[in-house]
Amino acid sequence: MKQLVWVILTIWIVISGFMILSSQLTLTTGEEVLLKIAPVDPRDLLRGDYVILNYDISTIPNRDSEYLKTNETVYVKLKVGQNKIASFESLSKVKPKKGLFIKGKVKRNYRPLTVTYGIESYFVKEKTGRELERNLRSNAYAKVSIRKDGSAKVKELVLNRAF
Amino acid sequence: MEKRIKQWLEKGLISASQAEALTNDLEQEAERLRKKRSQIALYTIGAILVGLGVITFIAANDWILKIFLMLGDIFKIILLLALTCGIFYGGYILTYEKKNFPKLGKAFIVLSSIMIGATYALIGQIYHFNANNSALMFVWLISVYPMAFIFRDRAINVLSIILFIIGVVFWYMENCGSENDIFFFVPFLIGLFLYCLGNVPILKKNYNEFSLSYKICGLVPIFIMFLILSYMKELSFNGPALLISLVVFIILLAVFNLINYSLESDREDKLFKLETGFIYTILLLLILFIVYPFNEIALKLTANIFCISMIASAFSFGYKFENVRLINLGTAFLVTYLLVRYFEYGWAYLNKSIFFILGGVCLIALGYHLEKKKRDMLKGAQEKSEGGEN
Repeated sequence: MKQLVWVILTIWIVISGFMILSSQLTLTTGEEVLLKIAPVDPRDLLRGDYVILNYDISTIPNRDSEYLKTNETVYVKLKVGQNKIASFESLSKVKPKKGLFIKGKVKRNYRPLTVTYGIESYFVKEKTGRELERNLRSNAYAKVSIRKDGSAKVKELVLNRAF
Repeated sequence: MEKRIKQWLEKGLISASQAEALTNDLEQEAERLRKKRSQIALYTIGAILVGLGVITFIAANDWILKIFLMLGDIFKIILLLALTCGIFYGGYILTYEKKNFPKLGKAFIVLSSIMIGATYALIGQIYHFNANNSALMFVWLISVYPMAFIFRDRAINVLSIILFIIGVVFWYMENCGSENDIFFFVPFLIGLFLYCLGNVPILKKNYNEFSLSYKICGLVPIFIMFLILSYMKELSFNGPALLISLVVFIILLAVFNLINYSLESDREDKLFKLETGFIYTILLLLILFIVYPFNEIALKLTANIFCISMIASAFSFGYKFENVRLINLGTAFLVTYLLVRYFEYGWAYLNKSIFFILGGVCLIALGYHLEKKKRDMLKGAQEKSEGGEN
């Protein structure tokens, strides 16, 4: 019985460690860029207030998306401009060999094409979600760290910054 | 038992002092059992409340930020993880090593199974993982499910079932969200999977109490879906691509049920045959739903037949096997079914005050009848077991 108790404890520590390390790795080794956002604000019952971040690169308007399936993995190549602001350059089903790109999943495969990148939630202090939503309506950016394999994590939000 | 003591006294089998001693012993035993039950209930409710407290504490980010303002993010996680592991290990020591507070120890183990989920949620919160994701639920499930078997704990088993159901629903929403009409099948498939799991022979033999939990938790979504079906005007599918994966799931469940049937040593058991037949009938019905468009009358008829059969079976087998959980399930199904039908037919045709009074009186009468029947059954079972002990 005691061995099994230690097995359970090890599983817990390994899972927690993996979650922390993989996130920390993205934050420390990834390339930092700013993505323009437009949020909406729901509430997660389990984890308090958060804002849903909808990026400019989440909607890709002029795209013939018929050959893409819902939930299919896609890679969005980004061009980084002044002040590290990144914007959409191209979309492909295969991983680009060079340049900065972010991995996403097709959410809606009809026009306009919608893609999610796993960086759409941002947790905030309780009862501050609404206020943040108002502040995010203009000139708001998310500082995002992107790894070489395309996985990304939000570092922080940059508010009221006109570039 | 007290009646029997009186009879023995009247027959001269025991003396007055022996009768008094026996009655006192019985009262003391009953008191001890009452205390034990209330202790278990208090510990379990306490553990669940503390667990919920930890989750809401984490949900209310500002509390965490205020208290741990000076601490780094990783330190917060390590602190909560260490606390969770400590509670778990403490529970183990109290229950299995020192054995001085076994009930409290079990409650600590249940508490740690909730707190580990809160720890994962905290990690998700700190690193802004996408909310409402199935991965969190499945990781939590993997972390606590073995505990249910190691400690034979029904509460952790039920927690695992809840996590499984929520995880599957989230997974569906993440992966097949746009195919809304397929969602109709998800509760059926979850329910049937849980029922099949409850019928796994090795589980039935060694963890019978878990087996019943799977079956009961599996029957609930199936019953609710039949109730919903009885209100639908039509049911037809236009052959989306996901229907193929749906058929694959149905075939997999059929195979699962077949494996259970072939591995079962007591295959001639009437109940087991009935259960196997029930699973295949619903699987067949799901295929029919995909292939043929059902109109309102066909849907109403099918749904009501299944609802009534499920209620009748729960009561029939509940009384036959003297199983209170099955009887309670049958009662819950019956009351829900009657309320739904009563609102459906009574609301439009009855005066509103008569509608509520009549409904209330009928429910009270039904409740009284079922309670009386359950009490008689429990009394009979108790006397039987006492007779066996004597």
